[in-house]
Amino acid sequence: MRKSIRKRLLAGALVVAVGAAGVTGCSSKANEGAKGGESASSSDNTGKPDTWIADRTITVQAYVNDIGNSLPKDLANTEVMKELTKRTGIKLDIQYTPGDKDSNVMAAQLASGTIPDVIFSYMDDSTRKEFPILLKAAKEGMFADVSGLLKDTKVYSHYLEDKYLPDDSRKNIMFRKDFNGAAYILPLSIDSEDRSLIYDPETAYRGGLYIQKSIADKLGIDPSKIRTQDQFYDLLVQIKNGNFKDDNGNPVFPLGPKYWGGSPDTLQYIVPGYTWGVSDGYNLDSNGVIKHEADTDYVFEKINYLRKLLAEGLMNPEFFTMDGTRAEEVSRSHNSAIMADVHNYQDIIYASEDWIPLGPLDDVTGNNAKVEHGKKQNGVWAISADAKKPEEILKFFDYLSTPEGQLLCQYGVEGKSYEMKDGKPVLTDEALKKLNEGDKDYLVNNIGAGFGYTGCVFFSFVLTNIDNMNNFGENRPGANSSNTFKRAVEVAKDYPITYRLVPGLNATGYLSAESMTDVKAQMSLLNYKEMIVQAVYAGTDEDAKKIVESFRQQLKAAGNDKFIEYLTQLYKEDPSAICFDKK
Amino acid sequence: MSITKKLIRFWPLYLMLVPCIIYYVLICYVPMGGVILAFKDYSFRKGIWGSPWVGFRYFRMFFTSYDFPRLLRNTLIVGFIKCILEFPFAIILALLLNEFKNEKFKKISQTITYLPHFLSTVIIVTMLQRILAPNIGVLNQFIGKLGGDPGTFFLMEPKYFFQLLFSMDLWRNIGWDSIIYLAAISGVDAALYEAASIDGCSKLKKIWHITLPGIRGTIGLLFIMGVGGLLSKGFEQIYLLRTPGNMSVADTLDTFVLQMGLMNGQFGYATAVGLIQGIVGLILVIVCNRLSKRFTGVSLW
Repeated sequence: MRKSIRKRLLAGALVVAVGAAGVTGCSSKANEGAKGGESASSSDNTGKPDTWIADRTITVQAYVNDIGNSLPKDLANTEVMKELTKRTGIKLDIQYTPGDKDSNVMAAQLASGTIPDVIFSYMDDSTRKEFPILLKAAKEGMFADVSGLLKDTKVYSHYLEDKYLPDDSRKNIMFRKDFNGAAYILPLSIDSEDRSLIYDPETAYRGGLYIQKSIADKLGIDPSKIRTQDQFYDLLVQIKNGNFKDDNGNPVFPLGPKYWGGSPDTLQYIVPGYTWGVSDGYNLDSNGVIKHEADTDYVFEKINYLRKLLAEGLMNPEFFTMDGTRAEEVSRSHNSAIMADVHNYQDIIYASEDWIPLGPLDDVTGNNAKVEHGKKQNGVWAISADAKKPEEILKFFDYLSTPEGQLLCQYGVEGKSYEMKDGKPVLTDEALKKLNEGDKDYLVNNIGAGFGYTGCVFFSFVLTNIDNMNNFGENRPGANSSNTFKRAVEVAKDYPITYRLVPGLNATGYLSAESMTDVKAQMSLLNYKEMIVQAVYAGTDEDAKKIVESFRQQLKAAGNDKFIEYLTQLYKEDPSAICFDKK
Repeated sequence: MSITKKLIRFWPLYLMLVPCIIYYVLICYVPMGGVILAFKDYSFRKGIWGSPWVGFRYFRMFFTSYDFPRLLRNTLIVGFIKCILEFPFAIILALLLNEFKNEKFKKISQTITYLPHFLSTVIIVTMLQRILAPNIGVLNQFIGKLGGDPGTFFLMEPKYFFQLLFSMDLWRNIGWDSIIYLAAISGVDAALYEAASIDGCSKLKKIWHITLPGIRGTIGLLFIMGVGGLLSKGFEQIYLLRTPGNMSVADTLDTFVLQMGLMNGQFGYATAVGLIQGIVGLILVIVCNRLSKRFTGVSLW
């Protein structure tokens, strides 16, 4: 009997313990949550610097893996953050949630209905996957309307000027008609002036095809003279017949994947001559009718060309699918005679003289100038509708984008990581050494500045109204005094490219219109580039044709006709709205 | 004994059950309320309950969509491979392991067959990508040595997709799945085997007439439970093995839900498709349970 009582007491104690553990776990988390989300604000500004905003913490959620991968271990105690708090009173709590894709994490978190004070996201233009999610959140009132606050800011007030923002940023992202005068989503990284058509080797990213210099020399070719698809094919054949070997003694593949991993995105560099659908698949035919490339014969020309390269062993069979690690391996071991895409600020290019740019190949109009659509943006941010005093938050991020704020964000604190010489910042020897050595720990955890996206990326990402040359005398911190990127600039100088302006937005950017909701839902399941790859690997030409036919039917079933009708209407109203490029 | 009396008499046991019940209610049943999303145009701000109703709009959209037949066909094939085709292999392995007389060899064999279960799908698929890579992969090099074409890109050809899925899944799960059958076999009365030996029964006959009928209940239960997941099997493997080359056969309802829900923010649509999967699974379990009860006497309830 006594044993039974003891057992019962033990069982009871066990249940109480389990229950207590559960309750303790919950309350601890809740406390932490309350602490993190707390945004206490004090407006007593006596004895504070002119730049003082408020004594409060702003909680930030970044859906940007570059920010997440470079967050300081102790943000509050980095030189930059200590100085920022001293100047403005603001403390930051930056959160990042790793996931399969940042856009998926963002969709899941926004769907939960609550967000911290501020969110940041990638956003080159409104055709990005993240945009429909942000647009839905904005329309449903999750973000604060800052339209009335902009005029009182130093930097963001430029956004109200005509032609300051890129067309897409203005019309489709920030000042959309369906926002009825409100502004919820703020673009980032806007250049103070449109320099999109100026090629400056000091700052240019020279991307696209690169060929091994030794192979080009042995074949006696001038890589910049390779312009047409036929010349490109002949070059690949020459390389194959040259029996070149890689570092391990294996035969090289004439055309290898891009340095960062196989992807259908590289089609833009290897078959631009067959890429008729310049506006994300759409273009105007000779009769002025808008069509998708899949509904023209160009789709077969492209597929047949690639099938020929594959069948004749001129491209790596894993060209489109190779994972990043192996793609880097085949590039570094010189297994690819030509890399489908890399740029001059990647160490494989600037740290040796093994690779030189090839082409670029001519596009469908017979021109190899890079098409630009005007000013660009890179990222967006929004303030939560539930955030206290959004004007303080806007004021803080506005301050970061002033020349004074940008100097702190990009270079750190004067006397610690840079000195002023002739009115321009120059990195200290120690900071320059750490930058050249790629000592991320020092740059992120000690200084905590952005250093042009090589340190704590958050402080580079959140800036706008960019004018580094005028403000700091160099394109990125240390560029003038560092030898690291000397070769990168040389490459850009020796192999220049030209630009040409084709105004307008990619056609699919207009799928975010309200009337296109159902079409967009169906269209988002279609991937034209993946279809091309699928057809390239089809067993027979007949199978490849079937794949294209099936895609045409899917496109039609998804509501392509309705979309084209809508585009035609838009184009009639404003021909510069969509970036079509007629031959 | 009445329920009240049972409660009073065994109260410590019931008390210990409380956390489990709370767990299942909170984690498994409360979220089921979310299926209501399938009938709503989900608004971030208004939440599940405040969002406007759209009736069966998403179901109509799905059943009339161009992709529906293809997605259903692929999903059923994957479900068939995983639920039906792979099913007997674990039983066969358990029977084989049971016949081993050398205990050491038996244990080593068991361990080797269990181990792959503990590897993550990402690692297995990465290994597979390397093994099957054209020209440099082990398999292609072997084919090349035998005089064949070493350039086959297995992961880009739809005709190899289901075979790869089957082989990979079987290799990973056969050992783990056989544990439960081994446990069931050990519960079969040893006297039956002795009696059969005296009657001159062969090994195969003992397996057929004693072991298999002895574990019939376990086989039936596991089969009924497995059938419920026919439309939602093996998302990770399919997602990771999918390439532009094999996507015509690798797109299933699960990948569709991910693409629609998380990537495109169409939560209502994705929930509707998920709900269809759940309902079909439930119907299959009920039907199989009834059939099994009628013909074999084995059932879940």
